[in-house]
Amino acid sequence: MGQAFCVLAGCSAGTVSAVIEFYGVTKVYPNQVTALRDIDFQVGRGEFVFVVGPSGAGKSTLVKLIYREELPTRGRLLVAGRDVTALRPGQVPYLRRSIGVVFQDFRLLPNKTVFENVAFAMRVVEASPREIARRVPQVLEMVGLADRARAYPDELSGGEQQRVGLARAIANSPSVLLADEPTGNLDPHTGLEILRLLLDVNRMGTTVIMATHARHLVNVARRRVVELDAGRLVRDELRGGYGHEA
Amino acid sequence: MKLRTWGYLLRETAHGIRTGRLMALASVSTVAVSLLVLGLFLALVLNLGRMMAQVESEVQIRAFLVDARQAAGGGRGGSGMWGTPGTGPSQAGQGGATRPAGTSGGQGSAAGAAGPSGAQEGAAVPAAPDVARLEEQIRNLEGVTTVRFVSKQEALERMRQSFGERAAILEAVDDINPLPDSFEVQVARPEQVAPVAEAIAAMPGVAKVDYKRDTVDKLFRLTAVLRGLGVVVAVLLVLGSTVVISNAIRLTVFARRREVAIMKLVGATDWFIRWPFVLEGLALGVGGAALAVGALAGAYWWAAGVAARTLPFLVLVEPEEVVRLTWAPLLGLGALVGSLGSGISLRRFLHV
Repeated sequence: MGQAFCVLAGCSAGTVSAVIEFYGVTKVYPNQVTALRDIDFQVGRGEFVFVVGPSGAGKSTLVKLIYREELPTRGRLLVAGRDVTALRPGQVPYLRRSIGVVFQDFRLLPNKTVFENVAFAMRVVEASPREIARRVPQVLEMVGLADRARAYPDELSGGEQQRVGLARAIANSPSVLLADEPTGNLDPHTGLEILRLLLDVNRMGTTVIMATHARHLVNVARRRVVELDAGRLVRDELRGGYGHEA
Repeated sequence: MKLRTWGYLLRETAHGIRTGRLMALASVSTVAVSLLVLGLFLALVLNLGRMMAQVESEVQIRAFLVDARQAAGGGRGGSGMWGTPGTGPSQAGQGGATRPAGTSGGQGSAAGAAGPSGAQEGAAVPAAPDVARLEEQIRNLEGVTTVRFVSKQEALERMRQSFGERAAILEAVDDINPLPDSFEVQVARPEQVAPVAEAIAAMPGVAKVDYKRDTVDKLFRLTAVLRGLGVVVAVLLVLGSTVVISNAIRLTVFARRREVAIMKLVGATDWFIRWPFVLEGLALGVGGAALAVGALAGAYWWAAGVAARTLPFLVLVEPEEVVRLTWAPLLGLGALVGSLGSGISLRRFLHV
């Protein structure tokens, strides 16, 4: 496994540690829908990976398994070396503190300002007020919203809202950032801005996994591409495009 | 959890209550009314208990002795068994001497007074019970605190007094006084009444034993019924309040589902997420209970005042006492209802 991973990732054995490891993972939902079949792949620390495929291919399920919103039906899934299937419920929050998640629908709190939305994520993991006061402007600056800190979500454009979502996802400095169709609700140009920000985050050392079917973004970025089709992993390419038909 | 976290959780709790004002009001008033009804039950039971204690403390066994005349008329023999004539007075005198001062003087003299008459009658008809020995035997029974001899003359005198103006009708029986001699016996504890009464009844020379068993038994039964009813009512009201609180919490959870989802996502611990809802339930329950205690104090104070004016012979438990005895159970029940209600909602609607 590790060998295959290193061949794909272009690393030399022993220098890279995998941060996400799928070993024969299958996910069957209670309604008997099989979302993922026997998935095997690993993501190294600091990698940027696109997960592509048509709707219903299992992209979202794959993301949910990583932050343990769902549990695998079969197989082993390690995140930062820990088997998520073996986590006690009380340990799940601590796993999630090492993972940031960005969603297609932003999921901001409408009655809180931009600043408060980001601060909320830090407050609920009991960060100190001083830490919050230092970190929130920093991440807002990073996503280019320093001047919109007092605005409410409904006063922002879609792209700006998603940047708030991204700022919130990285506020607690996670080692992995998951993005589930982060540009799905945005026009191509704005989507590209979000992709640039995700690449920035990745450049600073965060592992990024982005599920998308935005063909143009994948083709622009030229990063590792994992393709799913009907729950099967059908392609894992180091510097891939969206697909052969592209 | 850190101290500032508690500050945050309390603010969130207050925010939750404000958000669901109407439902919070509904829960608080439901809890208040339920616990008030329960509190009134408690006050009733307390008063019945007080009444029962009073009746019980007044419980007196009256042991009527065999009337010498009747005994003679009935032709009962065995005079030796009941003591011989002449020993009555001397023993009564002895008893008076050996018994400590206080009531004994009166009793001694009563016995002494009865002695001669008994002896006189006994001289004619040798059947009078040995009063002094009986008194000694009764006194030696377990639980007996005081024994008082009431001569037939004294009994008639009492009757005369209770008849007041119409006492004249008793003149007809003055000569033949049909009332028997008797003992008034007090025991230390209510449950000792029955065995002591039986023991006295078994003594030779005792014709009949009487005590207010019926009154005590009736009060006992009434209290038991009220207690049972109170428990049933309490259970129903607690269930109702729990449902209402659980509804209020469910609405709050629903109103804050976005926050909860994000909290879970970024790794807030389960208890960090739960606490504001649990505290909200507790606040609603305890708040309702506090209102109930206040209302109970007011209602009882008023009712006790009315009762004191219209039924002056009733000795009610003081309002302060009622509040002192009920506030803790009611607040405890409020807290229980609150945490139970939020617990149910959290289990069903907050999957953390």
